[in-house]
Amino acid sequence: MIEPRPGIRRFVTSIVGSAIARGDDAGDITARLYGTLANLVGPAGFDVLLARSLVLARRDHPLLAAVGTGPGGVLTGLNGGEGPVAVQEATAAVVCYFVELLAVLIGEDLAMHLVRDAWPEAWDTVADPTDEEKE
Amino acid sequence: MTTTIQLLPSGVPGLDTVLGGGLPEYSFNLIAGGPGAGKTTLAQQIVFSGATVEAPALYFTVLGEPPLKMLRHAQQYGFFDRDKVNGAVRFVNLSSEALNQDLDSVMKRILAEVESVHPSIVVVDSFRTVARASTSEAQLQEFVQRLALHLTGWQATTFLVGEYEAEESSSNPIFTIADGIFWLTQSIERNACVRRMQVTKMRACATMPGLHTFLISSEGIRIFPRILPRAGQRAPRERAARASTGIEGLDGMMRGGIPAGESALFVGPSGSGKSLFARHFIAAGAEAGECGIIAVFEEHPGEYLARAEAFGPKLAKFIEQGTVEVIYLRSLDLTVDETLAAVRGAVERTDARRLAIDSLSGFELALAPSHRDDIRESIFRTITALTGLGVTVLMTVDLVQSFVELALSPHITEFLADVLVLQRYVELEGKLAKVLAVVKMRSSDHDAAVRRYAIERSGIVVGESEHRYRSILTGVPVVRADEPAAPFALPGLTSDEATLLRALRQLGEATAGELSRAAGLKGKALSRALERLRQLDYTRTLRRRGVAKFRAKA
Repeated sequence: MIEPRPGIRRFVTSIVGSAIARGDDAGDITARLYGTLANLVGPAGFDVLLARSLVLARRDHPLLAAVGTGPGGVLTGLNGGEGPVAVQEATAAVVCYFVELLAVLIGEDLAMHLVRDAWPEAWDTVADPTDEEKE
Repeated sequence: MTTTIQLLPSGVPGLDTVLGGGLPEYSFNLIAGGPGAGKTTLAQQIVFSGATVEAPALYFTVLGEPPLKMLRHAQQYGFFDRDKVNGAVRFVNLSSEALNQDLDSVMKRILAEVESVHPSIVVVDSFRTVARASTSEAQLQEFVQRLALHLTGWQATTFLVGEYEAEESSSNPIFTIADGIFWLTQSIERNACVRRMQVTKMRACATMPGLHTFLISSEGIRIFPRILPRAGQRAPRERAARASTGIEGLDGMMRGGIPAGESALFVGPSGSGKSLFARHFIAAGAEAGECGIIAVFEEHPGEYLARAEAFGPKLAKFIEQGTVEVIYLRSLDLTVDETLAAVRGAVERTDARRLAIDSLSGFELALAPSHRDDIRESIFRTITALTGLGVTVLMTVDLVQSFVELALSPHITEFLADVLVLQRYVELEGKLAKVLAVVKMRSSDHDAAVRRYAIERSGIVVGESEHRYRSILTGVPVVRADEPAAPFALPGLTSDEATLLRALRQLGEATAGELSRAAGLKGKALSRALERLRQLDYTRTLRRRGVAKFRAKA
């Protein structure tokens, strides 16, 4: 079974943590990914990856059971009833699987290159997992 | 003032040669062909090679290969550059617009992206799926014309990629509107796969006509332009310059060797020493400081060199020095142009002045079946291209020996070479002997005598003319009736050598000094004659109380 590699997990956890601290919710985060990737992989391609990520993340995060995907790559139905920490972890899990799937399909280098385009502000603050591995 | 069309480097090895310099700037092109022909690879290679952040490329993907898979596959090629993705190379997926079968929305989306990015290169892959959204030929024609107009207006060089059949070229409007058409095909011929490209149209460009073979490797596409010889293409050369064959007797027959910059064909049956002639030729050049290339097709270079070490002349030291290179071309689906490119590359890399192709029989076998059908054209193009570079070319070819006809080469290829040397087995005095004759030399006088030769430990030794015999090429020579009866036959010997042998036979056993006095030979002439008699198995050397003595063999 596919599992996000540690570098991707650390990178995504940091990105999601910063985004939520700025007031973004899960929908904003995946929509941001959509804005960067949909042109490249097509809306349908993005939806497929997001739907599979959601299925994978549900194993460890039952609160995602009622969550779905909407137009523009938005996660819907993820509310704060389970507490902010659980929501943040569940969101990070979905994004982790999404990036991992992307890395499996197009390679970690290119996947991270594209994902970092979605959060250009993170370039200076979050280490690239591929760099860590190179070290 | 006239406009000069800038030609852009395509980034595809060989393609600029086919195009007459490069891709015409702002041209509107079609890359057409069947599934798996290499259309997308070609488009991507052009895009990744040419796009920069300042002059980006827009790559529109439509309903063909899913974009994720396309990115996955593109990364397998050397031309792929991760750092260019979404920067210098921007991929835009048009699947939604194409699925709605709305050409207007497709056009709007393309134009919006073009206006936003200001691309220098635009690719629509696959355009065929966009075209399917049209409801009529007129609508498609209008769409293509608007697209061509807009993209030219935005100064973009455009490539539409699509699966098309050759029959469509007369009826589909896109073929009329396109400035350039690249046709890619792959065909299976017996067990070989051959890829070919044809630029059937390129407005305002002097392209190379015909089908050009190409390869797809981990580096991407490489095209082998079908180079045709032009009049006066031969490099100027010094008329009198000769390339020694490395065999004294043969050089004498050729008045010094093969005329430099010409081609020689050595034709003979299996085991007659053709490869040895080739190695002598290359080694002689290396001794004189001329780099040489040996192109082998039948044996791995390791085996070939091991044979050289065993039977001479040894090439290892020249290979170590870099004056000799052995290139191995062994595949059953090579194309002539691929072979030529490999040989030519080696010649240019080493500045080689000599080339041995050992053998044309192996070359023929290595070619894809369809190219074997054109073997004479293939050899002609190979020879002309290489001698055009001023290289002296020696080729060997196997010939099944016949005693009912005087065949000079298989496939009647002998007329393609400037020099022709025929090797034969004949029966002489109850033994199988090897003879050779220089059948022709286009630009030089030569000795046309049939001469016996032997393969010794030191290599090939060519002897004297076998003038005592007639009908020698029949394989069963007879002694001439008008030939005075000789006390014994001395085939293959010079007059000095014959005198020395006669003297030795009279003396029975003699030292070098005694022989010198008896035969009137001294110094090097005596040593050379003694060595030749030993090589040709006329004498043996004995040691009597530490003194070397010679005795004639019976």
